[in-house]
Amino acid sequence: MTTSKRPAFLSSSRVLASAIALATAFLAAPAFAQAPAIPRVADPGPRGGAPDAGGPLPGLGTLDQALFNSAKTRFQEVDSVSGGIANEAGVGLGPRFNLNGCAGCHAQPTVGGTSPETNPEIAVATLDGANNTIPSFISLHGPVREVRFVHNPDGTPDGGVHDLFVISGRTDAPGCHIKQPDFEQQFQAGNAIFRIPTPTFGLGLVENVPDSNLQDAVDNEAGLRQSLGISGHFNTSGNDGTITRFGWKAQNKSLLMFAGEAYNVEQGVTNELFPNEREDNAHCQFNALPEDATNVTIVHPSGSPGSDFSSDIVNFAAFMRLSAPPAPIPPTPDTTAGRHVFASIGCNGCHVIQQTTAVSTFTNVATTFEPFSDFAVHSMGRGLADGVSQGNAGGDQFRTAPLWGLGQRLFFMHDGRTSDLVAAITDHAGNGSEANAVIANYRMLPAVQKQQLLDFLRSL
Amino acid sequence: MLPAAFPFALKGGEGRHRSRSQWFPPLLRARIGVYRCLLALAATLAISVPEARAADAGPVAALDADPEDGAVHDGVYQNGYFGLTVPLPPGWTKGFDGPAPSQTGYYVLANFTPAEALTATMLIAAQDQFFAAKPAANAAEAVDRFAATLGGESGLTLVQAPHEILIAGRSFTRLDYEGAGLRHVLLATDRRCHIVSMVLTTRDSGALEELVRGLQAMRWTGDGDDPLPLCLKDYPEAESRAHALGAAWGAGGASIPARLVIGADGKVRHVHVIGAPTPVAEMLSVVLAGWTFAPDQQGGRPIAIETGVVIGSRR
Repeated sequence: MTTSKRPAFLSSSRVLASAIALATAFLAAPAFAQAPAIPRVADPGPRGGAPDAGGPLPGLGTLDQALFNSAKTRFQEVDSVSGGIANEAGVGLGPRFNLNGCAGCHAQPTVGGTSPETNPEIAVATLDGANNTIPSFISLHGPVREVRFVHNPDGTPDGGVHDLFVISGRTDAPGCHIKQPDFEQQFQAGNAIFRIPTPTFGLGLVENVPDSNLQDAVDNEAGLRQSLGISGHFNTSGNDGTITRFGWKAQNKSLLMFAGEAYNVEQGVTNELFPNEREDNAHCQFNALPEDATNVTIVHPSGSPGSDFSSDIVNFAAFMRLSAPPAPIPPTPDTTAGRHVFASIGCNGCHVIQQTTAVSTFTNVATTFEPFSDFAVHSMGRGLADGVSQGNAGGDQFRTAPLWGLGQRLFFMHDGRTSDLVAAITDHAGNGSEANAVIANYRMLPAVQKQQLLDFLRSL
Repeated sequence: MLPAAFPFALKGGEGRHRSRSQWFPPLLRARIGVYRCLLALAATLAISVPEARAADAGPVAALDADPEDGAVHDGVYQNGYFGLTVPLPPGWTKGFDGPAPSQTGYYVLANFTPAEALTATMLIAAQDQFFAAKPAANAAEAVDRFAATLGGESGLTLVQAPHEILIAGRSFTRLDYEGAGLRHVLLATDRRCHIVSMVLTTRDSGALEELVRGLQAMRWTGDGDDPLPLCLKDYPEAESRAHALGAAWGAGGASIPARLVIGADGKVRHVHVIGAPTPVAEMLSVVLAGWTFAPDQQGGRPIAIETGVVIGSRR
């Protein structure tokens, strides 16, 4: 009699099934569970929604509010060569220029701000028949940039702005045939450096901080600064020796100076502070000078006689002076923790949180505000150096950029090199920088605290 | 006349203007112009044109060194000006270079970090007693001032109040503080017209104490047989000459600090112009090196002194 046996493969199958079952149970054991994810540190990105800036200072009287509103309208004016083109009523554009209106560059998140998402320099290059070539370092979704050459052809320091565009070819510039500089050659030679627009919100408060208060704010942080390798110094006016505070190198004394210089340099509009054309080709002069001047008659009353009689640059200065600072969003536990981190690692050594004004002519009060800047210039090292000296600020020195309003900004650093806040922070460190110790502190933070810091900065 | 159009002499806002070539001559012309003006200034100020220096008596190396001239050799930081050597902790390396000396006489001497991972830092710095806006009387006072700012909005918390400790036989004031989980120890001592500070930072308090213990290996030279120059913050004769030089030169709004070492014979032995463009620093160095003073005395013996002057004006 024979006994039946299971086929060998069935026995093998059972072994295999058992092995699979065993393996599954083994792998599901806690010891082999997936490791917790490492928190990712990332820039939360610019805040969307309504702009948290752009309005007038609180506490302005009726007349000053009217001045602010009218001055803001003037700030938004678009210039043409002689004011004869529809929607371009401003007079004096060019012969060389970067843009045709203040609000084109100072636009993010609203009028008076900084570089917008869509670069208006692209469109203006060929507006009204102009035949400009757009340099390779200007892009549609890159930052608005002005260009300076570090050296003259003979090797001496230059440092001045070289406008991107010319009015040649425009319908309102007949007979003008000047050419753009060879930007590509300068760029390839490493002789071109860039600056992006600085935001103008709240600058009247900055203008009204006495020198002694600026010095006190620095002195109060002296111990902290010295423990972190930070020194810095103020840029000063050659005219009266007082502290200058506007611009990437704090080279400008007042908002009027800031406005007048920009009007002539960026748009080519001569004015009562800078009354002479920078380009003197005879075939490209179309207007009596200065092109912007005090008005002795009012043609189109705006409701503000102060604005109507004043020149454009006085209006621009008034708009900036009477504008409110950017408003941070209400604090959360996360951003409050981030503010604590900001101070704990020493960011406030340069980005001094508070300043206090003198009593204001416009509001009749002294104001303590939070610009997050000492308005001094600091050595930022070879990585950020642009080789251009302005006043007491050397080629690697920059004014501490005020951080108010950072939450709605798109581009960072003096040349708009990055849109990523993490990169902007780490770019502060390098050979020759005063920020090295602070950035080292940042790098030693755990991810959670780094993210809290980023969230806090984007809340400003 | 010496051109006033050096970058720091420009008026505010001029930076946007197109070109300075019409009044900022090429470097070579500037140098020739500098030396012509040098002669004019010398005649004006009745200072003789400097001759080649006679051989010095005394510790030449220390007198000729500047605070920022330290360097790392074979794992040891050496600074001839301060007579300081600090062995780096095992596995550490030099970090980023610090900035140039500041116009307020503050120096980042050295940054050190572990070579493999950033888990700690050591910063060595110095603040002189000549050019600080509000100088502390000594290291202990400077540390006390800093300690008083801790807490509240500063984000930093006092861990241990300032107290004296001895490191390598030298008295330091020590301050412990923390913030954001980072522990810091500040050690400060007085040395040759400066407050020299060392800041140790790490998240690990045990590692921090180990770093402090490691500093027992540091050494200081220059005392005893080779005395350092006497620090003199206020030297009216030198200040008066510096002010006159600034006025004659037409420095505009510039204020240029310069450190002087004056030998026991009254002759200037070393000049250190701080924070000025190279052509200006070179010009001023030549002028100041030609100055001679009545020798200072201490206990009836002529002594070398070290002082600071500001050429131009402080506003």
